[in-house]
Amino acid sequence: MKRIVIGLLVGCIAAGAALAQDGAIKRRQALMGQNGESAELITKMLKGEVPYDATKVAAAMTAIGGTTDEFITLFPEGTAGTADKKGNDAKPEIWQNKADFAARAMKLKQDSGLAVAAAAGGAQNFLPVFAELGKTCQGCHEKYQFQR
Amino acid sequence: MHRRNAAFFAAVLISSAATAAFGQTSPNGVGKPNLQNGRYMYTAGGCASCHAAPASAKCDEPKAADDLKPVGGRCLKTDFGTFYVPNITPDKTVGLGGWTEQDFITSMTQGTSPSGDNLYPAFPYASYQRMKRSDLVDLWAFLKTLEPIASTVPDHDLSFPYNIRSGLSVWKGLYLDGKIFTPDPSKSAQINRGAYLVEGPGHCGECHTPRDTLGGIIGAKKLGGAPDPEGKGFTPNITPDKTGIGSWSEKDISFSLQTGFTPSGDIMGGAMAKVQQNMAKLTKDDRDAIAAYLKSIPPVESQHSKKK
Repeated sequence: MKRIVIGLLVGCIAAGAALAQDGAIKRRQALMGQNGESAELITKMLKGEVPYDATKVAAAMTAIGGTTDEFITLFPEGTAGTADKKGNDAKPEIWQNKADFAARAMKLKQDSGLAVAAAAGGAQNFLPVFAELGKTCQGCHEKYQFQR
Repeated sequence: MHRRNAAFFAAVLISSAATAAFGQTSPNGVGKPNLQNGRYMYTAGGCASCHAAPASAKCDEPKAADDLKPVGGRCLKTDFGTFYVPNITPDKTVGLGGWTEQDFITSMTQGTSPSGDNLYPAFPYASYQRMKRSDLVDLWAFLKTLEPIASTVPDHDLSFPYNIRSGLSVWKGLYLDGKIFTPDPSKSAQINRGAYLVEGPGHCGECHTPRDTLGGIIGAKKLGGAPDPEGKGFTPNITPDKTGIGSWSEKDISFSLQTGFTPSGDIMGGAMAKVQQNMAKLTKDDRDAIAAYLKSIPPVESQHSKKK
């Protein structure tokens, strides 16, 4: 009886951990998806497909900057992806370089702040600031995401 | 280094004569190589991205280093074994310091080193053979202006039979035709410029075109996407198919090469990150030309679709 209870408990804890891992993966993917939508809107404006709207640009940049603190907490042990990208495409290198990973997220937050401030300057002036933010995105994707 | 012989000098003389006859040495019209264009070709070809020093911990990761110090040493891990990318600074002992212009052109277009050895096509000479001779002359002149750095690089570590360089003669017979890019008169000057950049210096097909079992690119599936040569995923289909970038406009392509952002707000990562950074340094006209060309090629359907 005791053994069964212990067995069930261990099973529950393992299942709970798996659920938590799954939740973390889903949540970080959702945040990154949200950032993608913010960036998509900006690219459309910079390409002239939709009118440049400084208020919306600032809001999108604020949204990106608002994801970073939570984002870096969403990488519990055991949630690395694999090269075939089944499940997720996070490279194991993230866990070997957690300080660098967090520093890059912090840089994105800073870049977002600068971009919010630059939004009012119009599309021409905003483009280089956005491109700079893009380099921060890219640096992380290059190092920590399995290639698409 | 290798002793030169009479035949070689004759070849140099003939090529110099040919060069003079076609006025190829001088895109700037004064008979001297155009260093600015040489540097531009160096960027378009992404020379520094591959010939980088390795990151300290992992050889397959390039160290974030000075683009003007192509000391090599980073590795490419492939199914054939591990390639170590050579030093192409003008150092006399370990770099290209002892090479002549003709040595350089021969390596870029025929995949043969000055000592007569076959070079492995991890060095994308099957693309570089398409380059205009004037661009190669300019590129060589630019490389010679770089600082010589005596940084040694390990030998390639390849499995049998790939470690037998002479075996590459067969590969070359199959995939090297020695043809310099010729413009298609039925297409616009812009599309032809884009085609040249993609197929010559930009060597896009080396990753984006699938290869047959012998490692030669499959012409019928040009730019239709392929397994990543380093085995880490799939290099996207960049033809105008629905499984490729059919939904992208020319502006989308040009903008993504400029900023790294795809139309869906994704960012170009992986090996494309460095390529994109180089493309961002080209002129807008050239990025637009690449876009126009990519929209003009036959669509190829691929198994993997481009992630939206």
